[in-house]
Amino acid sequence: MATRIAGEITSNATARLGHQMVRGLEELNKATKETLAEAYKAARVYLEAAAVNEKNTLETILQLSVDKKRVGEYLASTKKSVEQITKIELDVLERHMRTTAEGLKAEPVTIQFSALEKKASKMYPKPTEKVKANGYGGYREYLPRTQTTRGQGGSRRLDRSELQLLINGKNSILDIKNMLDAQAERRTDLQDVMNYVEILKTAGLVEVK
Amino acid sequence: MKKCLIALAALLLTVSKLSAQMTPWLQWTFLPERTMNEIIGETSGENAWHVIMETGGYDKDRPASEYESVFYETKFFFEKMKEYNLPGAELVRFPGGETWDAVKGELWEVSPKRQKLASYLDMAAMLAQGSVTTDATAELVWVGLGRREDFAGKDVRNKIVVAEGPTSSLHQIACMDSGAIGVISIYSQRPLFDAVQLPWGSVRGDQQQNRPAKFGFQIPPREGEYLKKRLLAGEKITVQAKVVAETRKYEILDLTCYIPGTDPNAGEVILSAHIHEGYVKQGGNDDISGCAAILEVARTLHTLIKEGRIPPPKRTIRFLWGPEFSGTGPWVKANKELMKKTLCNINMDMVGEWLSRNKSYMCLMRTTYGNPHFVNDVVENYFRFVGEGNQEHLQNRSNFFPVTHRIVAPTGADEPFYYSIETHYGASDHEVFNDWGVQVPGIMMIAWPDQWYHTSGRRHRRSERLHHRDS
Repeated sequence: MATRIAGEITSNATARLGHQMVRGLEELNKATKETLAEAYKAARVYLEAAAVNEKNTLETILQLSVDKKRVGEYLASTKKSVEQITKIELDVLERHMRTTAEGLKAEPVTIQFSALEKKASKMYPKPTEKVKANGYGGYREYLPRTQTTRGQGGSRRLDRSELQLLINGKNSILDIKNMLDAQAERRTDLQDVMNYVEILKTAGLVEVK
Repeated sequence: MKKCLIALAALLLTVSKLSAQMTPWLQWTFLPERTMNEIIGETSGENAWHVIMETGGYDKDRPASEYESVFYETKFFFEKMKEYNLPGAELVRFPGGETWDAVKGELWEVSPKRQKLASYLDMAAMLAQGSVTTDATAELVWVGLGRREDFAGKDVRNKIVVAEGPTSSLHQIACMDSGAIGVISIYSQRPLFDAVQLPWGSVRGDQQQNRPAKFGFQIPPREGEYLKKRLLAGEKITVQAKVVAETRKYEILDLTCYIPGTDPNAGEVILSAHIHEGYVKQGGNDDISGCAAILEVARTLHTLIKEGRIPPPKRTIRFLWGPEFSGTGPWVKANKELMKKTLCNINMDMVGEWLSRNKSYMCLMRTTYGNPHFVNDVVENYFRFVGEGNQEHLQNRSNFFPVTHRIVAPTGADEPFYYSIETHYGASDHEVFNDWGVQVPGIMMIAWPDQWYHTSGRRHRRSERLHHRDS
């Protein structure tokens, strides 16, 4: 059953990744010379973040398996297949970006990271035991009462519930920002994410490595 | 609903072990055809619909004694659980609080005519929640859409304000800020779709300044239009408002039961639905329908296992009914150890709609990237089975059975299962499970859009539809 469900996930993943690819293509189609670099960056984020989610979803199949070794091997190779699909679609995005740049009489985009992005990509927050110690909503008692100031991690646009769930020790702060962007219509401010992680750290709810 | 129930019951057995561009004769599930046939045959949409009609057929004026003992709906579901011999049937109590309850609410025109304009007895939603005990007679004054600018140049002091704006904001501006003694709203979100539909309105005082609320009545657009025309024509109308309201203490009441798994170490799956949104504000579709759905799933699986028609599941399947958030939250908090071995939550909220009449889809709201889980794709598999199998494809038109896996209750809606696989949305009990402090991946099934959402119509209007639909 575990591998059957893994097959279903992979099948649906191809459609979901395809959806993210066309979403990225649309970002490029509406780009101007000035916004092309940002559009291409966003387009890649949609796909890459979705691919991470598909692989994480496959991982959960292990909850069902009796023969963890056999299923684990199956999942490892299936995750590689997802990576291959993603790679092909990223190639399509790159090709589309180059064609779009040509039409806009712009240089092809070379993705560059800002100083903040570089910093965020090296920071890996991990939840502490306090997060689940008191069950449903229990972690809130450690948080400051008001988080309403923008720039202090309290932006109204910041999806704090999802941000918290994305903290797993494996996602960098930049990964978290990207996964928030991939799931929302509006883009999240990286500094807001950094600030909120700092609030969680001060509250003893996360450690950052 | 039967289609929805089948999808749910089957996916549970999959999880607990027991294409869009697709060839139009090929549908599949994770379960053997024989098992699927047993589930489809045993599940009764009619039975689920009967439960909805018994507990959500109309807005009941709850007697005071219910607040002191057990709410009618809770008692009904608990009795059903016992009647079905569902294992572990339990009523769990948590501390509650206080809530507003109306005893009486009457609005009569006394001049120039004598006629009833609104009554709590007619429609509970006609009296805004939070209205205080009153016996007042005053002149009506029309303020258009009821926005702050609409009050310019109008003296509303000691009068009753009538407007097309929502009750809450109208009451704030008219009574709390401008000296009116009460409000009448003829606002509706969908006046052209359903002219007798009323939103559940409320009024609030200012606790900090110790200024209590006044009162608010609501009149559906169909009748409200007459009042509006008379006031716009300059007619001087005087009305008498009589309200008797109480504050009641209540306890939070949850219900649980389970289908035992064969391997206690293999984890559990929890189904949830909310039996109350409020105690005055009730809801046949939101969410008695979800409660009836998971009760029927429990009955179906228990019957099939007991009679040896399907094998027992490996993992325990647990069921939870309670007030939305306020009942689910304490229960999850009180069962922290159980959460550690819970694989996922499947929440059913507003699943009783007749889809085509409500212009809606049965939606699967997936988990977020922060809570990835295979349950999303397992449910999608069954949505596809029911959805594709109940659609007549052009390619199959010459077949004897052009609809390959037709599932319909005897008096239910014989129509396609319109479904949609969606990204995450919260605002229901699965969010308790998705919470950072719990981290049990939770999905939701919901019919959306909802043309009667949070209105008086989600009871009796819907029930009319439910009578004919695919229960």
